[in-house]
Amino acid sequence: MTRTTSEDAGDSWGLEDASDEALVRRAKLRDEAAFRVIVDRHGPAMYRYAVRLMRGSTHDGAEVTQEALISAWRSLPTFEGRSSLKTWLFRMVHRRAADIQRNRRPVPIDDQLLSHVARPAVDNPLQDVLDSELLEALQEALDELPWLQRSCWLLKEVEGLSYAEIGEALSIPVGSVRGHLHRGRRVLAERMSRWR
Amino acid sequence: MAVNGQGTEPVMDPLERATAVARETEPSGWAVIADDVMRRARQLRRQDDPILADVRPDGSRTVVSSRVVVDLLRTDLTQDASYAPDDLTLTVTGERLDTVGVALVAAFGVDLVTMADDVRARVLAVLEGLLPRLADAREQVSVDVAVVDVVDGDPRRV
Repeated sequence: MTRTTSEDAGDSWGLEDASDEALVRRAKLRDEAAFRVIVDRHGPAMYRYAVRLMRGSTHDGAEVTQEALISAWRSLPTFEGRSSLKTWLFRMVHRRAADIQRNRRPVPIDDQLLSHVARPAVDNPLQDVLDSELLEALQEALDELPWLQRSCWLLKEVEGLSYAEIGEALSIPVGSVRGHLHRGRRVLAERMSRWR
Repeated sequence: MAVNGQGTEPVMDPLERATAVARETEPSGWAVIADDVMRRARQLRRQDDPILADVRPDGSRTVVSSRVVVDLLRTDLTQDASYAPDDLTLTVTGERLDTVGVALVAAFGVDLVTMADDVRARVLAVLEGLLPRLADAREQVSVDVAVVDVVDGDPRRV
């Protein structure tokens, strides 16, 4: 038998370097350390997506992300790996966000919420102010988009998912992803054109 | 990429610029959210069967949660770079542990039969340390091993 025994003692060595697949195997067996790595690896992007999807509200974004991750922890034993972990987690976020959206009346965006969104410090204060205003304008334009256009645009342009991954995350055909993206891009470009 | 009115510096298209800013943005409060997720995850109850560990001559009993058994087996079966557990199933009948099912992912090139024997020995060693009734050979547990995947490299990492 070819045997390679690890010299590392303990149960949670090197988890940060482990692949998603290896982490899932461990988390399925209720390894909390492995799940923590999954949370830290994918959570920030899930949270960012949730905040933007929920009209810039960090409160709603946090709720959606927490529920999605808890749901993932519950469902991991049945996760079969047909899609990537990242895609599966975004699907959880999208479903939770849709649940909240369905049960809530539309509310106007609270501009103050956007100020709670942190960016790395830049050396150019003027550019920083301009970027913050651009981001606010983008959020307002995003809020005007239909739900699926907004989702597709965020997943493609901000989170970098492929068309196929977006289709899996949103449970829609790739052709529909292309259509939603095309229309979303056109509307956003038009809304943002006044900043030229 | 557009050019500004002075024609000297390149100016990014506003949507392009806003998108780049959105990509760089990290909404505040993530650390608190992550800690809260882990706290809630720990509180979630898992399926749990009591397993009789020992009965003293005076009739007092010790039972061990099946969760504890699974946690210890998972830890023990993650010490070897040749394989990693993919699933662990305990069959418990009336507080008696009948079967341990171990699904494994093996490293490419490993002798699977020898590996399965090693896994059985490890599982039984853990159980005997935990359940004195087994150590005293008053009961027997069968250990079923299934290799569900083979990967190139250390299955604990890839």
